[in-house]
Amino acid sequence: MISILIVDAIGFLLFGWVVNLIRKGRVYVGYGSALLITIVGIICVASVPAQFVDAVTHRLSMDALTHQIGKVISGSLPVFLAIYCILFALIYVFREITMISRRLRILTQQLAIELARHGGALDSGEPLSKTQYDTGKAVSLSRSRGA
Amino acid sequence: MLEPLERVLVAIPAYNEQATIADVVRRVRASLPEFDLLVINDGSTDSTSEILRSLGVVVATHLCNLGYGRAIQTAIKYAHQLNYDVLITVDADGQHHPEQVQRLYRESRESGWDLLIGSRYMETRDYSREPIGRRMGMQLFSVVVKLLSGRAIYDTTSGLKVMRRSIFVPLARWHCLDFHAEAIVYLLSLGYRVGESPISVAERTAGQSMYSFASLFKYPVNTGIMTAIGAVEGKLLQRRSSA
Repeated sequence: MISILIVDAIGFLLFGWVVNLIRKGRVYVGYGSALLITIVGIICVASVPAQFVDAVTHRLSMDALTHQIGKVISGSLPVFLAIYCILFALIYVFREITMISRRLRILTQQLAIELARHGGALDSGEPLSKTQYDTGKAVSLSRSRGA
Repeated sequence: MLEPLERVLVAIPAYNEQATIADVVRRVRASLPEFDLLVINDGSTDSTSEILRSLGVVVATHLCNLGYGRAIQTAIKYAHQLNYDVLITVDADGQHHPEQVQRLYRESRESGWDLLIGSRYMETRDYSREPIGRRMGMQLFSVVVKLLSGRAIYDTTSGLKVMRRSIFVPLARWHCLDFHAEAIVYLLSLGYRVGESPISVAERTAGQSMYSFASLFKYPVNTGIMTAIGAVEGKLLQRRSSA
C-alpha cells in the first residue's frame, strides 16, 4: 500500500511539473501530451490492487498470461522508480529540445519579418533546402547582406 | 468603400499553395485595395515563392516550415511591429471570399470585437459537409469553449479572423498551437471580446488540407491540453493584473 502511495505521489508531482512546463512554453505540447499520457498510465497500473487483477484474470481464465507477464515485469516499487527516472530524463531532454526549437522559431520569424519590412528577399527568393543549411549557405547569405 | 481610419493588414499564410495563391492575392487586392497585404510563405517547397515574386507582393518567408500557427504568429508580430491597428487573416486555399472581409471588418469596428471569427456554422450549425473526424473535433471544441468560457463559438477552426491591436501582444507572446480553441479560450479568460459573424466558403479545389490522418488523434489531445491550460493561464494573468 505504501509503495502504491509513493508511486502515485511521484506520478502526480511529475504530472504537475510537465503541465507547468507546457504552460510556460518550455515543453512543446506534442511532447508534453505523450509524457502526461505515460504518467497517467503508470499511475493507473500502479494503483490497481494486485488482488483485483488476480480476480479479473482468474475470471477470464488468463492466469497463465498474468503469471508469464509477472515473470518479466514485477510491479514492485523499484521498477516504477526506474521508469520514473527514465521519464525524468526524457522530460529534461524534451525541455532542452523545445528551448532550442523555440529560439530557432523566433529567429526564423524575425528574419522573415525583417526581410518583408525592407522589401528584400533571400537571393534565390526560396527557402533553403537541408543541403544548403548543411553547407552553410545561410551564413554566406547573411554575410554578403551585411557587407 | 471604407474611409481609411485605421491601418489594416490582410495576411495570407501559405504553404505549398501554387495552384491557388495567385488567384487569392489578385482577389484580395481587387476587393480590398485600401488594405495592406502580407503573404507568409511558410517554407513552401513548390513554386509558391516564384509566383509571389512575380506578383510583387510583400512576402515574409520562413526559411523552413514552422506550421500554420507559427505563420499566423509571424503575421501578428509583423502587424504589431509596424503599428497596424487591425490584422485580418485569410486562407491561401481560395476557400474564403475576400469580398466578405469588408463586412467583417466593419462589424468588428462597429461592435468593438477584439477578435471576430468568420464562422461557417454560426447560422446553420450544420457540420455535415466536413469529414466525420473533423466534424467531431469541431463540435467537441465548440462545447469545450462553451464549458470553459461560457461563450458559444461554433467555428473554432476558421482561418478568416479579424484581430484588433489589443490582442496582438497576448497572442504573440503566448504559445498557441493553431490559434483555434486554445487562443479563443485564452483571450476570453483574459477578458477580451471574441465574436463570430457568418460567412460562406467555397469548396477547396486544389492543394491539401493541413490535417492528416495522424491529426485525428494528435489535434484533439494537444488542443485539449492547450485549451485547458489557456483557460487557467488567462484567469491567473487577469487575477494578477487586477490585484
